[in-house]
Amino acid sequence: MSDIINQTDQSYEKLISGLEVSKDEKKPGQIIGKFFTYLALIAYSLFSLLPLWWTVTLAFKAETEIYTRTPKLFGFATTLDHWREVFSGDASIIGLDFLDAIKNSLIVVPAAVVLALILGGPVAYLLARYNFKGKEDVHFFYLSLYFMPPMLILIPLFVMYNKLGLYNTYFGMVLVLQLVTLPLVVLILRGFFEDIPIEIEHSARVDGAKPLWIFWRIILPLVRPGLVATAFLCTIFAWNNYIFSFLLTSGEKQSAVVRLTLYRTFTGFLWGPMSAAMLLTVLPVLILAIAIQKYIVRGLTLGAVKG
Amino acid sequence: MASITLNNVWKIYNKSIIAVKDVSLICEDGEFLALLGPSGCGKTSSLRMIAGLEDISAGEIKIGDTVVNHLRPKERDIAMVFETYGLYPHLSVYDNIAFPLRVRNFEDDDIKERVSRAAGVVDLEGILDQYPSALGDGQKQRVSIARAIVRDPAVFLFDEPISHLDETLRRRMRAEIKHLQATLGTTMVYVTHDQIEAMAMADRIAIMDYGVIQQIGSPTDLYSDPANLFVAGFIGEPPMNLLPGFVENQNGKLWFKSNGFGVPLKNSKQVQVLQARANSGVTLGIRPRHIDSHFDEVPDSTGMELYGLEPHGEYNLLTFKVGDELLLVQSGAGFYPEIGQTIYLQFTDNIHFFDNETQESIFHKQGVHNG
Repeated sequence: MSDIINQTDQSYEKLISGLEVSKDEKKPGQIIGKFFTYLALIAYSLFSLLPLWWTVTLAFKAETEIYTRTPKLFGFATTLDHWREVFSGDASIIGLDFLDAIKNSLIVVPAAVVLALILGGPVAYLLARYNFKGKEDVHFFYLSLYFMPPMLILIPLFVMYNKLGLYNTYFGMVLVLQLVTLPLVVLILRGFFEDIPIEIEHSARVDGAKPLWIFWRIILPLVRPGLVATAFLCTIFAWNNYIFSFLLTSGEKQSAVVRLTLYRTFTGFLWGPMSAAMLLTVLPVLILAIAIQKYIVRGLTLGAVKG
Repeated sequence: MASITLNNVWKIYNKSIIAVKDVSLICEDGEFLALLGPSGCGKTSSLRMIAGLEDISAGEIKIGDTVVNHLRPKERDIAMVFETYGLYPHLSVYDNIAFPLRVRNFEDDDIKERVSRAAGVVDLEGILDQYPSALGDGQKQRVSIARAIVRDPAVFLFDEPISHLDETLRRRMRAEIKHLQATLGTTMVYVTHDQIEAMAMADRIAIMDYGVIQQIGSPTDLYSDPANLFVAGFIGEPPMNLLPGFVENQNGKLWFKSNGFGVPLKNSKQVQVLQARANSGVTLGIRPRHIDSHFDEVPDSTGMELYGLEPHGEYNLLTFKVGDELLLVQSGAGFYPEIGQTIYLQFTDNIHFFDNETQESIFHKQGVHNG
């Protein structure tokens, strides 16, 4: 696996040195080509970043300037009122502490991801390494969880959760989020496990290692980048999941994403506080992404190399 | 140190694909045995069954006096070197070599001493801190070999260890592995598809095809007295000429006739054996170097038009068209005929005949060869 990294590094260097050569002998056509490339990239960046910036401005904009006909993206009167509102806890307009919802998500999502890795990792490993009857059916089962619309199971799920006492519990949420995270873990990790040459395991067996030892000491360290990338994707999907938390929790156990919607009150949209709360909701995932950037790039490109 | 015995071993995949068919062989204590054959012939399956990486469908495998059928690889006291090295990418060279010792809970001091000894044997002292990804292919295989010898196992199993290396490196590793085996005196089973490799390295070769052992013997045995057509065609470079034809009794003299040319048989022992085959279809096998070529007609020679000539340095390889087949003839390096020129070929009595039906050699173990 690290061979692949090495190779891509080398070809990357070749690529760079190739670019440097072309710097000296630029043709007019190349310059025009580059111009349009940049134009397209800038246009796309504006398209995708503008709404985000708009949200940021809304979180700091004075109430009076929020409803202007053309949104003021710069030079508006600023205020921290919306943030005060979001941080005001039970005393806020929505009557619930938004930070509590963040806390809920911070408990439920990591737990769901860890559980998915513990449950799905071995499944992915089995699918990658062993031949057994119905192997691809198992794979297809996990895949099928993806093209099943959640709506299909909402009502039975709701009834079940009520009867089992799982309604409005962290445990219930962790469990139901497996519908989102478990297939991801199985499908993605399988590829990472398959990327590890089987000879490595064979030589470990001949060298005298027991299967569990091989899994912990050899396989897991080797798939670490893939594991981190998978965990991160799961985190995003679980964190942003709306429908299950909306249906199966209420009040104090709500997730951040669901509580966001409370800023749409009977009297109207609270755009300012809602934007502030949205930014707050994005923050943990953003921090996580930056913290593990190195792994994600490695993990995702490894998958990409395999295709 | 131990011998390896296979008794009627079968490997059947998915209840239908027979990979190894009733194989029996013995690799003596301290012997270098090569399992040779084309890909898919069952040689690797056999090796993996000896290693314990593959279940044995039927039969019995013994290492020393112990039946190992149901022993895990760990308990068989073996070490294996893989085609793709099988190194642990996240461990340094040192830790890779130390791995089999760590798994077996050796003392740290002992590990250190053994690793440096093993590394010394294969010239790895300078790079013990490096990681496999930084190493060249030759070094990777050296690490893999060091990892195999570090524990002094009873048996070495090598699975095409050098087929990924380039030609120069391959030649070098060939010599190194052979030297290593000779100095350590460890029993070794070495799987390869390369007949030159097997010939050059092994004490004995077991040549396989379609899961069946075709012949077991020393490289010289296989070269000079192949048991059947497959062995005859597989061993030797340039390959043996195999000409389908028939034996004919003409005026009291025995001839081999094929596609417009005939070879008179002079060796009385051979004539004796072949007499019974008169008028039946056989395939003649003769190595290119056992055909003499002359510019002028000599007794018992056949004139043929030269089709092509390949200088190989120490000899020239002449080719002649026989039907659709090419007849290869090795001549002296100074022999430079023109293309199209008629050359008189004289077959020596260093020939083989194979039964067209059974493909078995008619002369096998009849003592009719001059070597």
